[in-house]
Amino acid sequence: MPSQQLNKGKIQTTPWRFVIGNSEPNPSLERLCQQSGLATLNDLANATNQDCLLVSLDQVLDQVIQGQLLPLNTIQALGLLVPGDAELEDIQAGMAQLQQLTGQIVSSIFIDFPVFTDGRGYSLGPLLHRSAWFTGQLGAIGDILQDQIYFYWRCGFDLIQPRQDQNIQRCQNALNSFTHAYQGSIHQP
Amino acid sequence: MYKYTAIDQQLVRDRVAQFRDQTQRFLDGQLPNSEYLPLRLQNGLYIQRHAPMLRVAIPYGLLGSQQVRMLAHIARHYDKGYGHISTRQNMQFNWPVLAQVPDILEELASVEMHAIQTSGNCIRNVTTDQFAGVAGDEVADPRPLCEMIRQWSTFHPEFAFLPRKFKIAVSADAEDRVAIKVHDIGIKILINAQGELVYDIYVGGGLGRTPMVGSCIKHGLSAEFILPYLEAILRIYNRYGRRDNKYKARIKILVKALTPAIFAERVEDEFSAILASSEQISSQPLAYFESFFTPLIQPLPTDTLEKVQVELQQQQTKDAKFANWCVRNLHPHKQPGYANVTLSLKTSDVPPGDVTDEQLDAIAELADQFSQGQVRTTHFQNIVMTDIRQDQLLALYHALGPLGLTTPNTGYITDIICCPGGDFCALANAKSIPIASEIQGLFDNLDYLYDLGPIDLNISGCMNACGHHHVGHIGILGVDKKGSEFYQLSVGGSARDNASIGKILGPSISREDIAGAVKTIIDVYVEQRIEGEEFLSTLERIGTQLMKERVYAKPAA
Repeated sequence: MPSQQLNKGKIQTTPWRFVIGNSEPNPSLERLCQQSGLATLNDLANATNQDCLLVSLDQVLDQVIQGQLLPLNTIQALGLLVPGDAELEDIQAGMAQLQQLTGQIVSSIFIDFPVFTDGRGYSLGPLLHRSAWFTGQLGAIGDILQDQIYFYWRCGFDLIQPRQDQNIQRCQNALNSFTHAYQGSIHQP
Repeated sequence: MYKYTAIDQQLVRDRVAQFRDQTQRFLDGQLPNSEYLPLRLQNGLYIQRHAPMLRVAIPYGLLGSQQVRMLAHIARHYDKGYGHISTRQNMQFNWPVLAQVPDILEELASVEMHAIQTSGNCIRNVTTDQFAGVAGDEVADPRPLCEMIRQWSTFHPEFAFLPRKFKIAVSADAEDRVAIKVHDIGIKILINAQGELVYDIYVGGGLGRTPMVGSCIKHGLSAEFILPYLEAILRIYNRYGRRDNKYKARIKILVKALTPAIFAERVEDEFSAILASSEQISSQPLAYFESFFTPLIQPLPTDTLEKVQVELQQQQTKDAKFANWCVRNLHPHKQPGYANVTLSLKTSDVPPGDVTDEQLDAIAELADQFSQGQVRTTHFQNIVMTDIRQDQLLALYHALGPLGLTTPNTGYITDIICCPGGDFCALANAKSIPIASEIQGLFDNLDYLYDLGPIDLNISGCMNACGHHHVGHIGILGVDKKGSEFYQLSVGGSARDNASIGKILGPSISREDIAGAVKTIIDVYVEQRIEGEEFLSTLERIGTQLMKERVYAKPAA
């Protein structure tokens, strides 16, 4: 069963895959694969024009991966995966470098929530939304559970990749947990 | 008081439905305990030593009589017939059944109440002065700001998983009856040189394992900038607060590590960015919230005022106990001819801060009759009735007497702040309630009690300091020494504007000896004080040496 995501509130099959470019084990990516159920692409030479690929910030800075990123200028979409405590300058620099290496625009930035109680990414989202240099989509990935979907949505995450054991329909329903809100939001100022 | 709009009402209804579903999934085994835990905490539900504990929110301590009746009903129907007032003006029920909690929340929602965010790593209840709106020494009523902050913080999507809990307090008077300087954010309302209302923002105060007094990082902020500024503080804290160690995760640790000056800079940068952006921190202006908090009573015409005051004086002359109660438990009202009354929940035969369902029902009736249908809970764990015409005080006193609510000890050493402690709380190292009871017994002679003057005695059963022991003039902390209950004694703390952390006197003291040790400290004070000198002043003058010697003196062979 392929992974499903919420994209601006609609359920769809997740088009994204993680890039596993080198042979060094990457515990974060392994953990993310387990949580999200997303497939991986081991050999970047096999990337097709249907692919939506996620490259993590630390991979961008990895020289082995850098050398392999050239084939990516024909894929459908390129996303950058960042940790919840990343600094904006580092994200901006990483994004620029990734775009330069691949010749592709980064259309989405996914923020990693390794455990659902680590709330740092909820603040990073609005900061990215506010940044003039990023006009793409914001995604939430990792330990994403039904009962926090409403908060991710209201923090401006258009793309929400629930943990693979979560029921996607219930996640979609959770977008409407509350009829009203006290605070303005990215979607409803 | 604030009245729910259709939006507020729908929000609490939606919340009840959400929590009912979450609880059902948990009980069905679909939701693991680790995933249910933050959800139930953010609905005020703890799993405690004997039973679940539900902490109901009482925003800035204000209750309407219908709400008081509901609390009585909940105590009676879902609990063992009583509730407990916490040091953050909330009410705790110690014995609810977990499966019934959604029903309790539904009943609460019917009277504009909830248990939202009274626990968990989120923004908690905003607390304020129990005399808000009626105190002669306040520069403005702090409650409109409290309500504005309450709405901004409720279900704030960015701040539901902070590094740790977050507590905000607002005060509007010079004395500070709210302990703002030992809160994560404390807001002081002032009047500037131009006669405008402005706000000083303190951050990084707190008690617990590492008690600290907060630092003022922003002076003279004006009302329209408060929410963006708070948002900036919370965002910096959410991003940079420590998450590696639960005991180092409060904002006070971050402020100290960065230094208040650097922390202030970071907040200022974020604050400027928020203002420059299109980010919407939507809220009604403060004036909207002010419209809900107009005076409940009218000024008295001069001849009525004279009559009222004369009547009170005559009544006091005829009844010495009533007169004494007036001296001890009444507080001045900004409007001549009116008074505010503390209902002391500190008698030696009940745990401090506990109130029964019968008392609550009676208080609701009395509120309708005497205090314009409203009461307040205080962070000293008592109840206050305001706006009582002075010629009605005697009737109120007679009604309160049989309920056990006229103990004339407000602010004295037997008006103890005490956490539930080892009798109830899974976190406690030692019992606190029996200590409070024993100490109250030592000071039950009223003449003696009054002669000592106001003394803050605070008792906590563990380092989490829910009893605020650090800021007591005398503080007691329960510790576990080799499996036995021992107590650490500190002196010289203060929660007022001159906030300070108490100094530990010496090694911890046994259960048998702790009450006597407190008595010894008081004996030294009485012996050493200069005419009219209050406890803290004597302590400042003579230091702790003599007290230490006497407390730890070996008994004569």
